[in-house]
Amino acid sequence: MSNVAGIILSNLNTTTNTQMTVDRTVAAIPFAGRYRLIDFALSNLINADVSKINVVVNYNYRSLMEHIGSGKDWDLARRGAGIRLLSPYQLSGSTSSKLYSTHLEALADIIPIIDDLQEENVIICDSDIVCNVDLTSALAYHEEMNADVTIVSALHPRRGNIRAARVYLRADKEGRVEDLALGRETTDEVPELCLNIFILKTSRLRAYLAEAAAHNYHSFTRDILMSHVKDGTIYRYGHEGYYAFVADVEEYYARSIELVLNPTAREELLGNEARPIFTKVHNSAAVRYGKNAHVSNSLIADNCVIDGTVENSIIFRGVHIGAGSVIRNSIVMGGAHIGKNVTLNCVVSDKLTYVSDGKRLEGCSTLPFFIPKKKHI
Amino acid sequence: MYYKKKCIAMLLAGGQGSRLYALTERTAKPAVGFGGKYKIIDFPLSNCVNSGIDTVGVLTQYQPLALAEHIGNGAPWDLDRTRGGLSVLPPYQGKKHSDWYKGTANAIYQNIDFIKQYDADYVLILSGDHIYKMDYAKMLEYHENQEAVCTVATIEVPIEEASRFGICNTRPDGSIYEFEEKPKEPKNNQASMGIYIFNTDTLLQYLEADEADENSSNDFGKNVIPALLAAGERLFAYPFAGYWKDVGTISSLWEANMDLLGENPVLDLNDTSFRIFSRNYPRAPQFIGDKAVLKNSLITEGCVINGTVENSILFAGVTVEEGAVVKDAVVMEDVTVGSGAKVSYAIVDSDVVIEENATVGVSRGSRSKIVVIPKGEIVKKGEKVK
Repeated sequence: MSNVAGIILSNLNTTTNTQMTVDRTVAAIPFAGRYRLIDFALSNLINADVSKINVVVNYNYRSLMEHIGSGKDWDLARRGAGIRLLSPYQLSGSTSSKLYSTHLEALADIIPIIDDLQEENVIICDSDIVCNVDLTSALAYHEEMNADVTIVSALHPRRGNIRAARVYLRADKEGRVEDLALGRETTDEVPELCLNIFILKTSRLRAYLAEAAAHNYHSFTRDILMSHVKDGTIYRYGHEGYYAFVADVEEYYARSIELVLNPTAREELLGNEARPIFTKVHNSAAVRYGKNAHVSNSLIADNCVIDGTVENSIIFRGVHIGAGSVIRNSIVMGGAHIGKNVTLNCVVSDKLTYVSDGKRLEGCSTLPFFIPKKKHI
Repeated sequence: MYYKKKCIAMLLAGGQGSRLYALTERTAKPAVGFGGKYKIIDFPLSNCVNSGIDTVGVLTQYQPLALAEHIGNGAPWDLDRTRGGLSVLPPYQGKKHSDWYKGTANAIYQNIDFIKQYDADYVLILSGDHIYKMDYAKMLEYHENQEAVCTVATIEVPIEEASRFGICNTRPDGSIYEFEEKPKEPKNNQASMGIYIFNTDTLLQYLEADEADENSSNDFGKNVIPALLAAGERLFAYPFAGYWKDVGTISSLWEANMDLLGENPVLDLNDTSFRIFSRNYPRAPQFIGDKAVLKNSLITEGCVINGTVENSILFAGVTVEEGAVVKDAVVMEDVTVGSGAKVSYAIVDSDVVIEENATVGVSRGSRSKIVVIPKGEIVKKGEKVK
């Protein structure tokens, strides 16, 4: 029995990625051919034997609910544990109807749940971060250091093309965090990037939340973590491999294409046999490649029927690509129908789109052309 | 506590499938892989759920490990039910008797208690050796409309092959007057598909009688159906038109796999209106490298392809390295085809490693035979297997 509970915050940053989250939470954005963003947080947790997972939802979470179902595909349909969705909850008589928009507000929303946790530690994850991180080792480190908080950080963050302000940090040789700062890019003062996966002592989390309520704090990082760095009990666990934040379509596109072009990134995220990524499985047939198919350097999910050319692309489940069509440098999400002699270059197609014969759509690598869900072209 | 069911299915899945040789060395025939993502038993099980039958007894006997792991509690077919669902029924030791399943009829006989507890009006008898999509509900409707006590599903086979099958000779109204098991001179080409619907009381009555007959080989085709006919019972043939393939031999298994290829395949598994369900695993999407050449093939998740794949079926997790050529072949889970290796006209069972520059099979020709590489074999560097 694991001594850790998981909390996944599914709606943070839903508002920044407006194109892809019209009718889904950030957590439900499809990624890497057959996954949704939440699969990475869920898999990281279950691969560390965390079997009690609370997913805090806020609004437009229907597709997330459908994806998770009973939790069976992650072995999370359990008695006494497993997965549960915590939707906004209003006490009778209460007139407030404010939905959370920060980590702290989201956590404050579920204080009764946190008060009831028996587990000694909690892992809090955002859902717009994609990585395959060894939380078993992170937990062992957290306990060895007797840390109040252990932050999972990227040791070697990317430079340039940063889409949003993020939290950077500096740690000493033991991993004790010395500085935390919000910024656009890594600097020598704060060389590592916080991946918004936090391991906390449950008792400490309760104390932090009480403190936040007393002082009317709003930001978990700025008001809580930054002010407690001086306690010397905040550590970081360094992650070496691939990671991706998905703040908007441009970043989504860049990180997706990286999986196609960079075998190491692909291997780190999807190829770890000890830590597979779990997702909702469908009953789908194998991919059928026709006589005219030319496919190279692409990730392709099951149940597709492909008779065209596909290069440097990610094709999700159940996509049909007609003869003579050329799909390059593009991400085509599930169920799309691409007719004959269609040309797509640097396109992100959301689910269930229909592109009729002969159409030509092109973006560029820094600004992909986005086709909204269910759009007929 | 059991709930009454109108119709339950009994799926005979204990067969050895000895004509599949190496493929069934350690696996029961119904657990042999098919079509990149499936096992043979997925077809009758999916047909059941697509026909609204939610109670299925799966009778296992020969090498049940892979089969039992695949079936589990029936969850992939939504057959993990509170009322009904899937039950695995192996031979068992009784207080007085204990026996292996001696024949198809005896296997059902030994599980009469299972049938009785659901108080079913009808029992559908199925086998796990065929690839087909069929709505059993239509057959049941036919059975009820004809007021038959037993209905046998039939399919037209080429007359020159009819002597390999059980042949139903019928009157113009579809009623059967004679059933000939593998006749030397078949009178027609209506072959039994080994699918029967019985009224439960009739089934139980004839199973008891068959069991009491010491000379019986306890087989539906050989003994039970003829006994019903001899007694003048009302038997009907239900003509099925559609894809149906006995995959009992290496060449028929290979052919059935090839039937999934082409622009409009004769058996379409991408059709979502009649899905074939199977146990699915969370593998990564397949990766097709920049040296890959693909033509007319089925490829499944977890594969990494950097060579040439033509007219072939690749199961999950197959690696085809650069310069390797896989042609007219069925390659099962987690096989590695090393660089420069050639696989043609073959069935390669799971976990096989074909090292670099090895050759398996010869190109498809009129006289060539399909080569089978058994599970877990290693074909050494440069070796030739023909």
